[in-house]
Amino acid sequence: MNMTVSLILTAFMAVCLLLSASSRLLHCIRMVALQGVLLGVLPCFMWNWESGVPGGEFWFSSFINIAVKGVLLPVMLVRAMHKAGVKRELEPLAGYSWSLLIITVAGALALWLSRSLELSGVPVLAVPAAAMTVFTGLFIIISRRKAITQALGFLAFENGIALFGVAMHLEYGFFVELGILLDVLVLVFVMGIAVFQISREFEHIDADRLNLLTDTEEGK
Amino acid sequence: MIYWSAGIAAIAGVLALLCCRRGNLAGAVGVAGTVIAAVTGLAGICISQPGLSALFMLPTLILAPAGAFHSLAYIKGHGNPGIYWGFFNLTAATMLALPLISDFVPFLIVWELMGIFSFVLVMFNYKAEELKRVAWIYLLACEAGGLLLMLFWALAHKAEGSGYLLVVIGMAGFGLKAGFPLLHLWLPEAHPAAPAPVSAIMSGAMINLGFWGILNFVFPEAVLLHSPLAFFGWTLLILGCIGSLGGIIFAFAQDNLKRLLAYSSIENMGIISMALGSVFLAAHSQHTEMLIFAGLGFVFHIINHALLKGTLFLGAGQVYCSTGTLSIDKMGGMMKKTPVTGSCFTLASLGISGLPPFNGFIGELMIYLAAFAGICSNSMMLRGAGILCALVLSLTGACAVVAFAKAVGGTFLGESRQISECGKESPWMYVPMIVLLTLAVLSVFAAPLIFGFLLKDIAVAKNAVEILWMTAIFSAVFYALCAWIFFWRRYVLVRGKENLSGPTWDCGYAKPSARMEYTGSAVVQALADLFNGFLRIRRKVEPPKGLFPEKASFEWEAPDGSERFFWAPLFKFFAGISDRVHKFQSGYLHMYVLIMTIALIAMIVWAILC
Amino acid sequence: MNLFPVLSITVPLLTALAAALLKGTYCRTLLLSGSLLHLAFILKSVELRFSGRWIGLTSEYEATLLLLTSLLYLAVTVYCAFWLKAEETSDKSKMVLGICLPLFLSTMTLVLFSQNYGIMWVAIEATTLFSAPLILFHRSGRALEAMWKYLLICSVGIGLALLGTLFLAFAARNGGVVLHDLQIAEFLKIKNSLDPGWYKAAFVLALAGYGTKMGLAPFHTWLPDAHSEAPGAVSALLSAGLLNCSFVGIIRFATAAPAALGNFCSNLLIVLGVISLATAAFFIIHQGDFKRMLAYSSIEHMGIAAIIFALCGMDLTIAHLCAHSAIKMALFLLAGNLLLACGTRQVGKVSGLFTLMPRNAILFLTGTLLICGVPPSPLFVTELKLLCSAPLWLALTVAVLLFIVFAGMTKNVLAMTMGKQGEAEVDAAPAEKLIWVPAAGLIAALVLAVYFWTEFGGMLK
Repeated sequence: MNMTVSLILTAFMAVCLLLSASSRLLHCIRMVALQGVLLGVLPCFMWNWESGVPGGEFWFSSFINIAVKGVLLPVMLVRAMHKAGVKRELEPLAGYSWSLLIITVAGALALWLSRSLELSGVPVLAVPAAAMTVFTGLFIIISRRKAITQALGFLAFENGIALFGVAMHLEYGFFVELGILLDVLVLVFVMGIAVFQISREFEHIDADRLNLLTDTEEGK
Repeated sequence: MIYWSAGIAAIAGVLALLCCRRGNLAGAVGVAGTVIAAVTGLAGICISQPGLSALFMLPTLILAPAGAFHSLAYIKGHGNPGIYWGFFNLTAATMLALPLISDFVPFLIVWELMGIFSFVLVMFNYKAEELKRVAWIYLLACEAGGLLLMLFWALAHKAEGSGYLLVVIGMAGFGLKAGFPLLHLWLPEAHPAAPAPVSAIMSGAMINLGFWGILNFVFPEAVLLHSPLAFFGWTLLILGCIGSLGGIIFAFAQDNLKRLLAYSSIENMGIISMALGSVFLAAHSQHTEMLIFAGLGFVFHIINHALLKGTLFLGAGQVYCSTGTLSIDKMGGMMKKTPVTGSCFTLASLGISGLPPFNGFIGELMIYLAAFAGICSNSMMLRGAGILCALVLSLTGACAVVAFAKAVGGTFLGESRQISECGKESPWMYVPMIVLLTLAVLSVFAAPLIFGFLLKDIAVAKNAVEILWMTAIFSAVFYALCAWIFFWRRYVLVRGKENLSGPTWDCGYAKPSARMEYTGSAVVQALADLFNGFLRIRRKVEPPKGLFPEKASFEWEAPDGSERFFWAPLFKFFAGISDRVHKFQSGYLHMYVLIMTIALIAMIVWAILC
Repeated sequence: MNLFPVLSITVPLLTALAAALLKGTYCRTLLLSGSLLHLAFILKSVELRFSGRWIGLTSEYEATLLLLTSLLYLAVTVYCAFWLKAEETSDKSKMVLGICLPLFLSTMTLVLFSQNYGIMWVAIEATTLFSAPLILFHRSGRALEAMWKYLLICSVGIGLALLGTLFLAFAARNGGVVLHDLQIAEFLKIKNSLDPGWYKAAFVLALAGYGTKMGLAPFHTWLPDAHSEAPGAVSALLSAGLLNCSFVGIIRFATAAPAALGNFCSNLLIVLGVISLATAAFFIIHQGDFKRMLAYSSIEHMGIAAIIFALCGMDLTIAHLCAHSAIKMALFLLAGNLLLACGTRQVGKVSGLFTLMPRNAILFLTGTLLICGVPPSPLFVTELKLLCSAPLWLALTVAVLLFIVFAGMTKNVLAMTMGKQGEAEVDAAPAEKLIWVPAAGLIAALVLAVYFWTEFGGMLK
């Protein structure tokens, strides 16, 4: 089991690298979907099977996670992408090689810093993988132009946070988990609508060209 | 009883506010309010004799009814009378209540309310665009004073806060209202903008309350200092010297009549401050005679300034109502058009310049005697203080004469330069002036009576009281002589003869025009050039060009020094920081999230390090 | 679980559903009835206190904030009833308003009732979702931009808060406590056994996260845009209601601090508070848009509230929040009136309002003076208490920054109200009728001032 868990966590980190290096939006959405599926599957491998078969809640929450994060959300993003008519992130604020470098360095830093943390019962790669995913999400929001890539970055960010929760064996109750998933679902739904509205109003979805609301003199 | 006066004024204020548009009703309620409040207040003082607070209530009690009657004519047709009378009475109510409150925080609340109510009056002519800046400056001064006093209160409760910082903050807070140098900026802006009766009350009664605050709240907190009396004495003395000299120098360089009077108020507050400083220094060295002289000077000058400056501002109000302008350079010849106002204004100017035998002279005489007592004493400190005091007072007195000569001469004497039409004077306006002047003259005689009674047990005060009697007798003789010459002898000489009148003496020119007269600015030009290093007058000259010049112009103005060289640069500095900081809200979402991430990392690093 | 809190959360949902089905007609009736019912249920809930696993009402401050939110919502719906007619809104916009406002109220109520860190997080995230369409009311490019920034920045922030919640749970686990869920009452009981390192990380993340929603600088960057582009009624709710609820999130984290870390939390709150105050001060100077100016004023007061919470305790903080809400609601509604009458938000183009719209102008000036803490404002009492409790350097900094804010705000307000008519064409009649709710807000603030004076005044003599 430990090996599989480590594999999954390494897969997370690899997906982060892939996210930061790709310009094709469909590809990025698929990567985030993969993260979601892995997230749903991970608890099964982290469960201590010797203590018995987990209850219905456990399977239901795994299923919901995979359904929402692996299927629903990516579908919504793909639809938004098609409606906005955008396929590629063409000129990000940080170039693709720079992105890759920064994310790699971040991952290395996370690995190095987490060595001083001694956490019992938590897989060694958990905290670095989660931290790296969170950082990748934030980095994508900061460095990509298109609004839809920013929504994607936000999804990666949420995945990283959820990974922290799963990896550290934290239970916060069934309703809460459901609530969190529902929130993220509605949020991405609203974001998708917003992206469509932006593309209709401005005829582009470059978030860095949305700077009418500013306090500097030139912008007014 | 005495508290009722404030209450009555407040109630009258609220009632007047409710009368909104009906001018006559509001006016009647307002005037009645002030008069009844004054009567109750004076009665209350006579009955309960509350000491120093009575001194600070007296100017309001006297000036409020005077200003109220003057306002009846002044604000006719200008704006909403209900609001004017309402806030007039409310301001008077707060001014009456302040000397009676002993707890600091309620005092502070009423203090700020006074600022807000008077702010409404200052911006009564809200339709004028220039008034935006003036109203803003006034509001800033009120709030700055309020914040400083809040800090004062906060510091007074801390263990380590007591000390010089506490006293400096307290004095700055109250000094903002009293017109201390550097903090005086609002005075020459607000007084010309406010309606004249309001300026009279503000100048004669409101700015005194700063001194009340210092005496009642800041001084008791200062006992923890090393030598509080000396510190207070020297600070007040030096601030007073700078204020009085600076004030009067700027005064004579002003063209706007009310601005000149406002700077003169700053000068008088400076003199009051010098007197108070001498009191503290005398108390420190335990020189009782100097203390008595300085104390008498302090008391007299407050009352004199209230009466005389009130008259002057009311006169300026009449001038503005008649001509529509306050520029001395444009006026002239008002003495013929508004004789009663002119005479009262002249007499009040003589008084406020400190010329004998008017009441202003008595106040300054007492301060001079205090200074001389200091010079003759054994203490080095008192000698220094005395010399400084005497020198500055004499220089200010001289400049004051120049300033008021310009004011009186430019406005009332000669012929009108650029004003063609002039309205008639209204009895509502000049009767209060006459009343105030009569009170001023009576105070010359009342002074020895009152102080002879109050100080009869103090041996050292005998000198002072004797001097007061001598001045009173001399003044009585002088007034009698003047009355005999100007009224009896003139009547005798003139009776039965024909009364001829001719044009004003035109210096012998063939075809003179009124525009050839000396303007007020010309009168003071020599003195202004002498002090130009301090004044830094702004000149705009368009010289005549060519053989047959068509256009030429010359303008000069003396904008406030503290604004040009201190406040404006300070505000510009903060505005510069603000403009640079505005760039952070650039509109770029990426920047925003980046800033958030950096802040988060900074907080995490701090959490790790702490 | 007691009935009334559940009703107060679900009844608005039903009104939202009804609004969706009716497609915008009878919108005002639905909103008003929803708010009245909500107020009734809240009053009943406050009367019968109760505790529960997911939602409950145990402490005084939650009760006060619930009442405040409910009354605020009632005032805003009454204003909307008249404003929607004056603005002549389309049925579609009314439908959006009718759906999203009650949902927004419902989630805010859930935040205050929640007794579980997880439920609280869900509720705060939900407030972001349901307030976002409200910002889009005017359907302009700028509103869209404001909504996008609001969504993204607040979601990132709330994500950080979720991470903080997780770390808090981990701190409990590391400290040897076994917890089944994230109940707040449990955390308060075991707070001294929390692992200090993980707690610090949790608090930092929660402060950053909930601080984003609350408007603490430097996480405030969405606030000026969102609060200025939203219509006046929505800005009032956002500024006076939502910021308080987000602050409750931070308060719940801070009260769970182990005894040794109390200082750490206070210091962090004070630093962020001062930065917020400074940001507000320097952005209010030369601010050309009067709604943005009010938004920065909200940031300023949230900064002051953070400092008050760090130094003076809960009572004064809640007092400050209540006073700020009352006055800020009035100001934003008045700003909405000004926008309706003048058609622009630019301070430079508006002038002479004392002659053109006297009632609105007088109320606006009074409101500005009250929010800057001039007596008889209730904020005067709280700010004075703050200056008394703060160390010397903090008191001086706060006083200077308060002065700068005052200077900036009064300059703009005086420029708008005094003088002659400016460039903007003013159609004053509809706006002059909409003054009653803002006036009520200001009167409520004055009543609060009297109440504060009697409550806290004893400490000030």
